[in-house]
Amino acid sequence: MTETDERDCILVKKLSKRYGTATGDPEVLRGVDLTVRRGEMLCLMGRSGSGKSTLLHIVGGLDREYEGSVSFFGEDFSRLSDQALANLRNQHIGFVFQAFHLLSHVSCLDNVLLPNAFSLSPLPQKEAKERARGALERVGLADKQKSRPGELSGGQKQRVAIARALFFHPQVLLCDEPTGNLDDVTGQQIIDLFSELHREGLTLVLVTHEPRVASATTRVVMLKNGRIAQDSETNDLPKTEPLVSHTATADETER
Amino acid sequence: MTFRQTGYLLVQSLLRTLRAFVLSVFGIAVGVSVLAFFLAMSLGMQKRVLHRIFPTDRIEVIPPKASVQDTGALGALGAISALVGGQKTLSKDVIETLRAHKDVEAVFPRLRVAFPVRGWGGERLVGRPIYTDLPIDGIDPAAVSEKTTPWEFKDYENAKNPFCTEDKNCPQGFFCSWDKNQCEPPVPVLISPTLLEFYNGSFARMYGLPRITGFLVNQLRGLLATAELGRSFVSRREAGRARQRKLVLVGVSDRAQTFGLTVPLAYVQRWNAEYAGEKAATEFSSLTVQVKPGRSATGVVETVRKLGFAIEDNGAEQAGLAVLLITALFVLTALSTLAVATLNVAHTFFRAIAERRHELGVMRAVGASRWDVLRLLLAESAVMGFVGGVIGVLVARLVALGIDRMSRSALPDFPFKPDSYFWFSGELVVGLVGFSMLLCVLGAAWPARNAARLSPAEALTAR
Repeated sequence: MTETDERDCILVKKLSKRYGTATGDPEVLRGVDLTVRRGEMLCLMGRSGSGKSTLLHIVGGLDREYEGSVSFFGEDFSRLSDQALANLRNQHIGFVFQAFHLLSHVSCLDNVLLPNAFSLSPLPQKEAKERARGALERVGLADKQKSRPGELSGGQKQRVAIARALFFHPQVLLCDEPTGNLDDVTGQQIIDLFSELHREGLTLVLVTHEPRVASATTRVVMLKNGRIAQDSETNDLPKTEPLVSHTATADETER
Repeated sequence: MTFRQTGYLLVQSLLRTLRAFVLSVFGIAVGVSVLAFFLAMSLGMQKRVLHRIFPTDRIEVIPPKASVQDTGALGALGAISALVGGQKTLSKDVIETLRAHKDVEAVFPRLRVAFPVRGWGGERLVGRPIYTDLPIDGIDPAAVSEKTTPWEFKDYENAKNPFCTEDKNCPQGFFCSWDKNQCEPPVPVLISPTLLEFYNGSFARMYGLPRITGFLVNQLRGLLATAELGRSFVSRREAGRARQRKLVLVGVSDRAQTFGLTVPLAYVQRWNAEYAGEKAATEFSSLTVQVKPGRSATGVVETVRKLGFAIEDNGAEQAGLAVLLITALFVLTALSTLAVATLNVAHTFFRAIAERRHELGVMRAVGASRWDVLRLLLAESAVMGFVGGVIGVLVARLVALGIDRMSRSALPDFPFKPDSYFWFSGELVVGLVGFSMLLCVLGAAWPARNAARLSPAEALTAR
């Protein structure tokens, strides 16, 4: 266990990340120090290639190839086995992706049930289904349980992905460009949903390009060339200036 | 991941990639069906044909046949030793030594009649008597496990048998032996299934006689014939005083000699002692050694050779080898088909995994470990192998049924013509399906391992 303040949720120290093994490969993250506090709604912003998605993947335990340390509620990722880290993702971290990443060949209900399939202590089938239905109801899709993702709109797909992420009542929700593939209205609905979850006490970390998403959060961390360029509470930011300049399209996938 | 959840994800995944699944299963099914066909044919030929002609669970021990001409220097030594020390004979001591061998179930002595015997009979079968010289041997009744009727296969000669001067003085079924004026049951006789097969396949067809199968075999039991001891139709050689004995066919047994009649050993011992001398009654012609179930005859053969005796070469080894070689050739062909099918499975999985990278990434993100991913993909390949294996075996079985049916209706009878040329044993079916699953798992192992080693982030961000 790493020594942390009990309010700390995620603690990142001297985090560096380089893709590939050749010395000439670019360093995506360069000695990043970051603390995500419990109950926070944090926004990671930056230009394409600034390392925000990479940082999100690392703090979510999706990428273990890095230097430095990352701990989640005191658990150092580097000390966890593959199975233990998988279990941590399963029970304590929820993910929402820009491309939704739903299984297209199964129903919405089965998509939401997916975490239960890989749990070390899965809920009984009946209870799991009840919970999955509850999660779909929570995101306003109670009537879409049997629909396949292909039958849903972008916003609905993202809601299913959120319901899946909430299945095991995670402590942290990590979202990578959650509104990137959605129109303004639908995107706003998703932001509202995140705000609601935040008010209920959930810790959220969002990667985004969109100022309106950032303005809904409590803290904005700006990355530039793999380093934290700015870390401020949203209230401290000038309301009139854009939080980040748009140099990349929303659907551009970052490393 | 629970079994039920794995099963659900598995089925959904296979249904989604149905076309690739069907193509891979097709390749596996073709390979398995070819393999199943030839293995079942090989087993069938061995079990239903070869084992009937050349039983492999027993060996026939005979006195050494060493001669200068046949076996060169060693044979010459054997021949000289035989001349100096006398010919090795199959005595009771040899029987006891072989019975003590760990792989031997039982040893039964055989003794050939050492003088001419001729006989006649068979009116019930062909409408008129057949006259022929009779090759007869005797065997220990304990060797015969088949039920015999209307008489038990045993020695009936007994000094207490009632006095008679002609058959009508004797009880029903008994006959008067005039040389000693005693009523005796006829001498029980066994014939071999091989003899019956040759009669059906050649003799009956040649002379337009009825084939003897099933029901008729039972009708044949009780068929009477007369044997005249010491006389021959083909040779002028005579031995002792001619005596007649009634013979009765009591059954068909693979313990009977292949071409001739087999009677209880005691009759031949008495007759040989009387017509050919005491030595002919105590030195056995051969010993039938029954090997214990599941044991190899190799050790017994070695012991027999060490004792200085020979094994009767009935052609089983050569026939078995021929079947084995032909089977091996076809099995190799089938295995090469399966090798191609396995590569196809590997290709299918490489492609499927590339297409499913995001899906696998999501699974990892929501809690799947590397082992879960590996297990899921290998389970998919195992299902593929199972379906391919079952279909392959079914196709082979159907083709085999068709061939058997054609053989029954279109091919003429021939000796040892089997009802089926194939033997789809439970072990074979289970083994083939298991083998098919193993091949698919092996084919999928490398791509599945690669997929499992991929970090979730890499899988999710792959284009």
